Amino acid sequence: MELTPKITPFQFYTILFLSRVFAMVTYVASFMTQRSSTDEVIMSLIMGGFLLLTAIPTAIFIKKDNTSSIITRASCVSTVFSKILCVIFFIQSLYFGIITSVRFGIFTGSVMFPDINIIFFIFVMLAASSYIAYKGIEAMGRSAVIILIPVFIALIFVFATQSKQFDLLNFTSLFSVDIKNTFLSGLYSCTRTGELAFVTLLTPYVNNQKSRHLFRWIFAIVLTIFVSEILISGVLGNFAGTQLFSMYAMSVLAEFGFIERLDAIITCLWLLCAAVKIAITIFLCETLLSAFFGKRKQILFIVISASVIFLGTIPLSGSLITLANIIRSPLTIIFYLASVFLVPIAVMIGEKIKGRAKLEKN
Amino acid sequence: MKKIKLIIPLILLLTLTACMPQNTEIKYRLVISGIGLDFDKEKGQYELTVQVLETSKSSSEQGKSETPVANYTVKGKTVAQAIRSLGENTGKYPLYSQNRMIILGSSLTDGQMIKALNFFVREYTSRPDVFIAAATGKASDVLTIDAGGEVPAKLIESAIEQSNENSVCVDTELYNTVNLSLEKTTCFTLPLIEVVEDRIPKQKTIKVTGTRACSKDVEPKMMSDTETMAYLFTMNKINTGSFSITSEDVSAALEIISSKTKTTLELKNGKPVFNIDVKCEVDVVEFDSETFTAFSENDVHKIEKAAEQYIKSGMNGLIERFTKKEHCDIFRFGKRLQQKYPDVYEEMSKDWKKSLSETEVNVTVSVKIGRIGEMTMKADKK
Repeated sequence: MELTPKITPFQFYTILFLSRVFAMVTYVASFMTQRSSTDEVIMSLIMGGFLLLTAIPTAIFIKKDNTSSIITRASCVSTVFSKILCVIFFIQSLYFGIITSVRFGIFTGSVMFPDINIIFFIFVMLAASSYIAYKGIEAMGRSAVIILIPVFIALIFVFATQSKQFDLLNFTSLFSVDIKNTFLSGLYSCTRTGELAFVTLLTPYVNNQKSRHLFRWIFAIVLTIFVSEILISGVLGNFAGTQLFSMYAMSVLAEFGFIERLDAIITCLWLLCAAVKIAITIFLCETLLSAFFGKRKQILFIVISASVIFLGTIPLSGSLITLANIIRSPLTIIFYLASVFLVPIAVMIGEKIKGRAKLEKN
Repeated sequence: MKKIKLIIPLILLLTLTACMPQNTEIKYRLVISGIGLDFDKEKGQYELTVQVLETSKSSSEQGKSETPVANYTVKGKTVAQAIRSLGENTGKYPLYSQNRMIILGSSLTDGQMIKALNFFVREYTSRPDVFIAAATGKASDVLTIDAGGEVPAKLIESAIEQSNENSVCVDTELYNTVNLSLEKTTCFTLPLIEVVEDRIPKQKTIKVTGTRACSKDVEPKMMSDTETMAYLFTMNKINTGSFSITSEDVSAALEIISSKTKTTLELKNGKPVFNIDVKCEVDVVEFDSETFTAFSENDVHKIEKAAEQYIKSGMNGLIERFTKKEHCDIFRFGKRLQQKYPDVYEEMSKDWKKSLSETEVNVTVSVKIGRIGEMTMKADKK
């Protein structure tokens, strides 16, 4: 019998944290609303609130059973139900992977190599990520922890060096654009944390996972986004609204003494985060395909998943407007709420009904 | 399998080099160190003076006194068009990441300045922390000074940094300028540079002479270096620096050790009142005395009072000038009002010039002397 490889909760949530950091770096505020500095900070707190709220079913789910994935538990309720879930989650993971690849393409195409065909870079990144996924979750977990160290140093470095440029006058009055828009942006920002769905799907790969690990991860994400938004607003002010990637723009300004041009190194770290994000997505796709077909053909499933992501990325790559329309579409919210909120609740209700029926039968 | 594992890295090594496309090699790039922008009113064109580093010559090829830069002048209806023509003329691709300085000539109106900066905000290799300065005359004259073997743009950057350290010059980077220019009621400020002629050796050099206040709807206003210091006091941006006080009783030179300005805002009868409180610590570096006698506690008190009066009158004069006469909000009063009383701001910003002139500003200054130098103090006569 093949043993399931396992990683520690710290390694698992490090993967998810790095994945969310990349989403933070490639966040384009103007997609959502007219940028207002104070509202962006408030938005990060609203996002935290939504994230906590939507994480409750996941927390209950792993508290009840932290050894089986949502697919396995759904198959106990109904085999058809589990197959449907496999398809839903597979489509969602592909969507997640495509959006990440498009973001990666726009990021590299805008700030690194605007003269070069970004499709090539997306291909290279997908190939590298597929290789990481092929190496398995243990290798991914170990790499993530190693990557976390420089990413953490980079974040602290950017935050610390920019704090001296901080000016409270750069903030706007509260809800200066629109209160409704701020809440909506908070909700959309929450949907960018699609990694929450990975928690219930990859449960068997995590050793002794507890709800507290999940909440610590949420706290780390919200804190990082909150601090970065405060600094972006306080340092860049209105300039942040003119930049595609405001977090990147701030990291470009980071310098310390004679060390002036660290943005190239910091950009490499963001790219490593992208690699981790795409790799875990491909790994998840492979896991879902294996669950659907009932047998594991690792290389084939990885190649299929990466190819579909690549093919899905091609028509969208380079077009900011298309990406903005996709991100702003209600589909994003539906996908998110379905995967992290409705499905875990549905599975738990199914288990309860099935359990009661079993009891009555006995 | 082993062979494949060896071949793949070899292929990657040979194909994924950073300089794969020819135009990314350093000899095919124009490494820009400074840009001067002027406007040819007759032709309605931007005139760009681009200073590039001589990358083709090695250090041994260059003489010690030879400036390691080349200057190009190009024209265009837009900045992008002008820069593109630079590439066409030289056959090289401009690289902005080493650019230290953008100098805006006096021929550019404030509106044209902002339009011209648009290019540098969008250009991906341009850095947001590049310095922006205004020239009293032509930007090209400032950029093409003889820097005695140094890169002129670097020299100008150092001059601005040093003047800012001495609190006689504002320190403005691209992102700051853009940030302030996007505020509805704020006038942004730029360090002002002029070309001066040194007598010995006879050569042209540059001097930071004050500040240019810019806004889209008012004429550019200039501030002298003493006014700039008063402005920096108001904006809580004083670093170090020195000033002299001369009154009937006492005369001394003082060096600023630290300064903290707190601006509060309140509404009185529906109108904003700004209270600016400056707390400053200074050292006495020179005391006007013919006898080298130590000064008394009473003298210290007199110097403090005179210094307070000097700073206060400077700030009051500047605030009076810019709020009542020039109608140019360089102090971000509008922004403060928008933060605290957005509804009042909404109403007042409709005619901000008028609102600004009616704004009440109260300045209080408190100066403390830290050190008095190596000389001792004498006791006051009772």
